[in-house]
Amino acid sequence: MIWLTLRQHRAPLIAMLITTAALAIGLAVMGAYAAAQRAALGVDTCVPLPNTNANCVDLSVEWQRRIGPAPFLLAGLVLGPALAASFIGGPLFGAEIELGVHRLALTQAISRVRWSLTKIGVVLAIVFACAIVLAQFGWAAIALNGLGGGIRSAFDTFEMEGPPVVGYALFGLTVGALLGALSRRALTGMFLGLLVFAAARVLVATDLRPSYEPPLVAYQNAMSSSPTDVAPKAWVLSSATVDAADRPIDYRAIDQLMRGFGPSVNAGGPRDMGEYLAILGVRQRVVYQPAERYAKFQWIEFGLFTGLAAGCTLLTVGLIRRRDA
Amino acid sequence: MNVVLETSGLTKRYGRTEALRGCDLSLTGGKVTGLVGPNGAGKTTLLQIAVGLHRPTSGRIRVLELDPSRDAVSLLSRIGFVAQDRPLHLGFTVGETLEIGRRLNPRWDHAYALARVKHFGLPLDRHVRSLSAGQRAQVALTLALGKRPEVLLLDEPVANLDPVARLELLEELMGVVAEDGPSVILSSNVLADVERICEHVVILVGGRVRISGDTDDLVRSHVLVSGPRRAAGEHVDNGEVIEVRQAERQTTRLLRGTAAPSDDGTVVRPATLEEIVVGYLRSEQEEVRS
Repeated sequence: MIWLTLRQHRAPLIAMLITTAALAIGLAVMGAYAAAQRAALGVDTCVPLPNTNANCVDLSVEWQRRIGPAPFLLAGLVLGPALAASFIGGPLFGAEIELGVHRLALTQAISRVRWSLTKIGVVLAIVFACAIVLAQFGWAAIALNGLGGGIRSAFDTFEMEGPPVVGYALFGLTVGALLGALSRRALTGMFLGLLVFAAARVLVATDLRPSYEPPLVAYQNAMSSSPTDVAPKAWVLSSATVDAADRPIDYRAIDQLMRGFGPSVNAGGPRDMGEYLAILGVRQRVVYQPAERYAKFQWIEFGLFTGLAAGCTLLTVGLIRRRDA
Repeated sequence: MNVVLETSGLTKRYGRTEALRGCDLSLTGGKVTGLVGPNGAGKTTLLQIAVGLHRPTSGRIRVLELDPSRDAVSLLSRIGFVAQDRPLHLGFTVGETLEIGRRLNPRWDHAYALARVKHFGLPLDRHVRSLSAGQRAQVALTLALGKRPEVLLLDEPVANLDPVARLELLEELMGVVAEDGPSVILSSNVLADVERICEHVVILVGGRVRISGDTDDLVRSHVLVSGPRRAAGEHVDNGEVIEVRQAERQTTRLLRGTAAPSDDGTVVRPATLEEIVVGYLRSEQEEVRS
């Protein structure tokens, strides 16, 4: 049965292996090149001139020119699992059932459970291996995005590297397989698989991931230029200027308060506007997930999607076992 | 005689349509049985339930004394099946197709399967895609026969084949059975084929068994009585009237039993299998209409 699965799905599996290899080589070479060029040009160590940062912008532009379209390789990391879902998962059972060829295998001396589990298991194992390879390129994602400067969040590469990439691939494949088996159509499985996969990703990213753990809250100077001053590289969920009672406060109210700033300075109060506002209880309230939680969140995301994949696999096998073929 | 297939009250519903309604049947082994009936009579459904692809809604079915939906694997190692349209993986070669049989069946006879495709001049490295319909039918049949089955079930085995390929396949089937091979149960729409090779005939109409009998017995027990139109209904027949056809000046009746020719111009002759089957199918349609 393993032989049959490999033989039957030879073309898409080989295509996936080649794509993965090409993507991995491209990311490794271009990632290293981008990092080297950035260091050589000194983009991240650039000191702005006294009156302008044009010199640093020029360096950055030159770096982008040198690496060319290489950042598009990152799209492969994002789209890879989705494409695996669509092109391998959808037709895995859908195409065979659509053509009626499943009756050939199902009337040999083999149980439906063994048939469906082997098919999905063999393909899943290969997708798993490919995903593990692609999950190693977080450093290349950082290099190609020019994130070395360190001003942005550690969570920027969350969906492009590490355990989540593997979880996405497993889920994408199995949800495609389930919907293909359910609809008995390869194209429907591919299309719906992609749709449900994307919907699940968006839902998890916007509604679940921010609260894998209760977010932290910090207050900082209302005039601070960046919300991450208080928590470097954190994932900022929200930031707002609030009054002493923690209620959001709009700029008109701040304007009102600032009228008292001049008299306050004259009376010996703080010379910093932010410090002045802080005395009145007005601060910037930042809700965030700290950078240290990155690895933990990645494993939670992996667990979630792997669990969904297991659920889809069970449903598929159950469906094939019970339904008229 | 051992019973190879037995059903009682077998019923299968797909949504609101009933493909089989209380089908009672008992088929003994060692012969070729033909399932005949119009499209939608339940032939395919019956075969698919027999090989465990579909599950009955109610009723009972035993194939080789096994329940196809519960003992599917042990049953499937003992029966061969070729589904309608003879599904095969088009991208596989002939050799790879046989390899499927070898890897998935414990009782697979690879030497026999190889000898068969060699006999039909099919190179092992040819892709199924490039084979003619007749050659594909032979590959599909080989895949079923390589299991050395005790029962061979074939759903429309000669549909869509050209006349030569059809005759070859039918002769092939007869040869397979003759050499101490499996019992064969096949469905067909072509009565001439059924007459040619089937020793037993089951007529299915509207999801029920209309009649099941050995071909010889059926032919022996049915007669066609033709006479002047006025004689219709008056004539005393020694048996059951299956069907009456009224032409302008003549009445033809299919009888199960015997009839004596009379001096009013009535002629009695043995019915052919085709006439018998058509008679039963027509009579059923009359029933449905009335």
